[in-house]
Amino acid sequence: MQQDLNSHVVLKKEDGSNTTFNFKFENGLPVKPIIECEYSVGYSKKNNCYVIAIYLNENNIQKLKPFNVDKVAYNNSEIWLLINENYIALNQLEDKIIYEYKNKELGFYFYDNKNNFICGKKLSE
Amino acid sequence: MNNTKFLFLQTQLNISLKSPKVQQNMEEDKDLFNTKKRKSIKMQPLIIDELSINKLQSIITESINYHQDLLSQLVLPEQIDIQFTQTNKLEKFFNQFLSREYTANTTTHLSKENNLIHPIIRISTDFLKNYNQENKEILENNPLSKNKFLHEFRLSFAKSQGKSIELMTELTFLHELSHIHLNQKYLDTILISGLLENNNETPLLTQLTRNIQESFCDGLSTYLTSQKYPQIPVLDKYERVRIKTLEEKNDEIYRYDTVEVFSKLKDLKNENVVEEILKIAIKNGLNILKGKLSSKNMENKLRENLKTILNKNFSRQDLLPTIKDELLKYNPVNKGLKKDFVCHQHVLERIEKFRNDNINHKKLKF
Repeated sequence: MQQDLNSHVVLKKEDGSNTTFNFKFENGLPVKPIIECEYSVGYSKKNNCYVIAIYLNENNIQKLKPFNVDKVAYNNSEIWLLINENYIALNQLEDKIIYEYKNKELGFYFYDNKNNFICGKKLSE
Repeated sequence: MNNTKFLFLQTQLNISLKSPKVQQNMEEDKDLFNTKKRKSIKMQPLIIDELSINKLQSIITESINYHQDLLSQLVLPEQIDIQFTQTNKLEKFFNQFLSREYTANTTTHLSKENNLIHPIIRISTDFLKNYNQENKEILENNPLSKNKFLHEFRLSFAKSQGKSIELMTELTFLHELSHIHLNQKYLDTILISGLLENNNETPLLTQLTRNIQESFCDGLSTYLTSQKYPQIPVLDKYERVRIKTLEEKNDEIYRYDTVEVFSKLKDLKNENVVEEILKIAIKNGLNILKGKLSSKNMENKLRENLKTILNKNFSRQDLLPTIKDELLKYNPVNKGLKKDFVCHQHVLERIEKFRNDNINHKKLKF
């Protein structure tokens, strides 16, 4: 039976102390479930920022509600959003998109599979 | 090739999660995508093999829970990271030149914040892939790996009553964990000496301590695994791997010459197992060293090595007893140990250097 990806397991020692084994991906992020999705990148004149539009199925929408982004990680070409202990991992992003998040603001729009708008978030480091 | 593609070659640096400083709700912009220019890019599948990671994680979690009684006796730090790595296509490309594959290693760093040891065990998902335990003939005639140890490891544990992957993963994980125990418990001794690791003046002593470390780690990992799977001859299978990959060198102690350890584990009683296996490992190393001392050259080398560490001269008959006595004692030579020391030099670091050197010089052409 496949179990959900968990971040850690604790070994209780004889002397009463614990050793925590932290499971991590290759990039150092704690292992957690990754949400599959499609995305597009565009520029919003209305909001004066670049926006990544993310398309989700119903099951994943329920996992991510109310879409408060708890944490963000990024490198040269990827942005990882942590929402309700699930990752949305966006890869193959251009430098300028990463730059926007680091130095200005970057928008995220969440849509369902029928392109219905759910909500939008503007984030900055 | 433009710079974006070069990013694909760079080492995946560790990234960390941070709370965004600014988070605001944002209204929809229906004009976001100009209808003519709209471009919906299907996200490429991440190069993260979740299935394999899930499998490895389950096996390791189960192993920790199963062996809890004995593992709780080990000296381990508060935090140990287990990092699942995988070689992508481009790294496989580099592997052709390096003739090795990256399987597992342990790196131990002293955390800069609190000076505590924070080890990372890296385990690759790659050695689980394309592994068909039924195709022994294919494995024999067409090695999945140019790494001799990995090839023999897979071969030896093929057809293990459907438990091949579990066995290989547990053995690898427990082996690396055993290294962490040694590093923690014997940090200020000759056995675990960063000074020796980086010191070209005591090569023989360094070879001896590495052999003892590997003998202990092979011993503890195979002992634990054989207890869990009594129906599978784990000790015999692992011994076969070490026999087949043994490298005989007249004037050196081979690090992985651990063949004699396994037969001694069969009679081990369940009390003080960890200490008993260390004794077996030390005895193995000293026996190998004794065999080398028939050469006067080797005897002199050892005498010089000991003088470097202990600042004394020793007669021939005192050499081995002295090493045995001093091996696990606190040794002030180790003060000033470098903050970052690597327990093993493994392939990934070589790949990174090779790759980065080529990026810098733009030698690569596809």
